[in-house]
Amino acid sequence: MKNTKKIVFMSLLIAQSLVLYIVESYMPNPMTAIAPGAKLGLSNIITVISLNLLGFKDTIIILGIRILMGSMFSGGVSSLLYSISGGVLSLVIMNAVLRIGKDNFSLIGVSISGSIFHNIGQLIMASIIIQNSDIFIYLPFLLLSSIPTGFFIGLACKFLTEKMNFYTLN
Amino acid sequence: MKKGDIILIVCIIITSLASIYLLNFNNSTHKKYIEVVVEGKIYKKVFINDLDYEQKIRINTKEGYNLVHIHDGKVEIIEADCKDKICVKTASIDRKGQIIACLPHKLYVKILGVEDEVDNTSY
Repeated sequence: MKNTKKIVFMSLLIAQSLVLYIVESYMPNPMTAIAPGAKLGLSNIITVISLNLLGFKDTIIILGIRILMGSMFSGGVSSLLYSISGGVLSLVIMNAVLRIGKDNFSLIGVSISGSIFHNIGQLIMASIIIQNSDIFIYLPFLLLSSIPTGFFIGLACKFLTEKMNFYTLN
Repeated sequence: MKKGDIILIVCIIITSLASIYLLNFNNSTHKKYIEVVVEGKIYKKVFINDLDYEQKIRINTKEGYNLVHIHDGKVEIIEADCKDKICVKTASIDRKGQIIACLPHKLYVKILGVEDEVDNTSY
């Protein structure tokens, strides 16, 4: 892809993930029934897609800008810390799964493992902030919730990448 | 869906269900009390064994307030002015080891237990 085209494509992805982030905050959240604080994480669709199409380096830029601007629109400083710890950890793991386990895992598996480590990263940051590791008692519930969310995100990514492949070819 | 996806899903379901079962199983102590901790410091301790006991505790932190409600041997946060309201949405807790956290306010409520022999000597 040409450089200008790539920048435009990346900024489109950032805009889309921000819109998904804001739309999700206005949607009723069914995941809280399973675990407190669990959510669908619609903007992770963009993270998985750009990881698949553009690679790790560009994705971390997209993720960083999305987290910064997302916490400007809603959330604030504390949600910024949780988003960074969860987002970066899940991105590193998803990258590893996508590279190493390409034969064994589809995008659904990639996104489920990302969702699992997003929760773990956020719990690590939460236990640092409240200075108590007992918050990990919610980990089994969050793990359980990460299966439907990760599955949904992975499925959405699978359909989207099939349609979006022409972007990378040009 | 590939083979690895299904193995991953099955493994996660088994480990999480097993650990939820083990956490619920471990409920042997007789006396339970809650600890409200704000920014790493203990703010208040209340015994919650008496089922008729009811109390509302308003906790003012630097960031805002939380209203903790103790009733029927359970604890929940019923009101807060934090942004995400996760602490309010969290279901009430009544077992040892359970915790409700309000991360924006750096606050958590935790249930602890006193073993019987410790109970006789120190309380």
